[in-house]
Amino acid sequence: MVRERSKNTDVYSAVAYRIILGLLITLLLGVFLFWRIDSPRVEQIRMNIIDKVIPNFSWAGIPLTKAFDLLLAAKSYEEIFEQNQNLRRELQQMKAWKEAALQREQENAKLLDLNKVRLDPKFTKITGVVLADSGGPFRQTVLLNIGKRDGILDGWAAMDGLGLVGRISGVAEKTSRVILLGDTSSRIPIKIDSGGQRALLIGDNTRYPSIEFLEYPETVRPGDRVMTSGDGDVFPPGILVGQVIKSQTGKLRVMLSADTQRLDFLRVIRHLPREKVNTAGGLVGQPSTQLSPSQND
Amino acid sequence: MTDLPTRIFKLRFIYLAIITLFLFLHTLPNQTNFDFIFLPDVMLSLTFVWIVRRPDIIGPILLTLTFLFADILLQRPPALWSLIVLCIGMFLRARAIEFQESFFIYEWATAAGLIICCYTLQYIAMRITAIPVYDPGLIVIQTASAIILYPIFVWLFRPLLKIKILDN
Repeated sequence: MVRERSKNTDVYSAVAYRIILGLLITLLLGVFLFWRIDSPRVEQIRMNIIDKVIPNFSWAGIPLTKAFDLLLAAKSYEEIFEQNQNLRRELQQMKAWKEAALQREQENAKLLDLNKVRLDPKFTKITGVVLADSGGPFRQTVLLNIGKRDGILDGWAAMDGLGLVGRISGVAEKTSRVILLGDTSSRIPIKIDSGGQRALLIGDNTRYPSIEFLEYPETVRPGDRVMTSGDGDVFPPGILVGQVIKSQTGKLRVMLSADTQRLDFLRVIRHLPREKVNTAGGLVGQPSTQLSPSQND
Repeated sequence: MTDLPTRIFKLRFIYLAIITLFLFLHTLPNQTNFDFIFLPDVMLSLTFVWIVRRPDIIGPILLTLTFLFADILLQRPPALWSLIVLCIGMFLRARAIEFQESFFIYEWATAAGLIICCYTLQYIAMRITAIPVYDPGLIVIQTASAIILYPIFVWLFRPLLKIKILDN
């Protein structure tokens, strides 16, 4: 009798197991399809979950992060003599540049004063601390500790002290995610400084994102500066991205000015979109509202 | 194949703790330096080792919850990787008894085949649903790391995963 009962429960548990497995598979498939169809909503849910989880992790991460920093610092001590020599040489060059820059600054101030130029006040910055680097080996994103409550919007540019680092994608209440330029889903409109050619900067999980859709690649030389072009109104134009380099296969890539190896603080540039011209003649003719019949009578 | 219920829960707790530690390492800042540190795919091989050694611990619900959480945290397409790992893991679980009497190399070969299967399925699924696919070189490295880690985890967790009390 005991054996019979245990046999029965075996059958029951086997059936229950199948039902649970079936339900779970359906659930997962449903979540995946829902994400594929309505990605923004699911990404928002994801951001909210991360918003709850990651700040709890971050206190535990501090000692480890510091340990990494120490390790990196120790590594650099080895090269300190060589570094010192290099720095001294660079300092000499910098002095020359400083002189030139000072002269330019004075000249610039004079010219600005003559022109009564006012710089665009739109470009204010919000600075955030990098909370976490999330994504495993396939994604290159970081999490900042500023979010909706600080007025961050999707699509704004994030830079470190020197150059562009990435773009905000995903904002929660207290955190926001920055997709770095190296991520495979990162596409940034850029302009080569000399010659002004437009192109796209496409991340491919390497340290040097590649330049694509150049019209005349032969005119671009390694060392040319790369800026954001502001096409598509995603980014403010004229943010420094880096320098062109040529890989061994002859592909043009960008060496980023930003130090992506160590991201501590990032500046998010508050960039509100310009007024859009939606209709074909919108800019040339009169505003279309005045031409509509309701306004005429 | 049964153990004390308290020990089962203890082992489940240890499993979750290891996974959490791994996820925590993954989300550490200052890790964008990908030449310097490369984290292998610990989760997949660890889970497979535990499934083969102790099918009673890693059930479908635990597996789904763990991997779904990892998907959300690691910016993967949600539920895709969990779905694949759930299906293949449960296939492995159903065959776990076979491995008890066979050579280890057979177990390892099967696990390796299934790990490759997981990654291939993910690649195909991402291709079909037009999600930007990962760099194939990285996928190969991840697969290889998961396969190499498998015997290491078997060796590491052998004392822990022994059945302490047999229920006759």
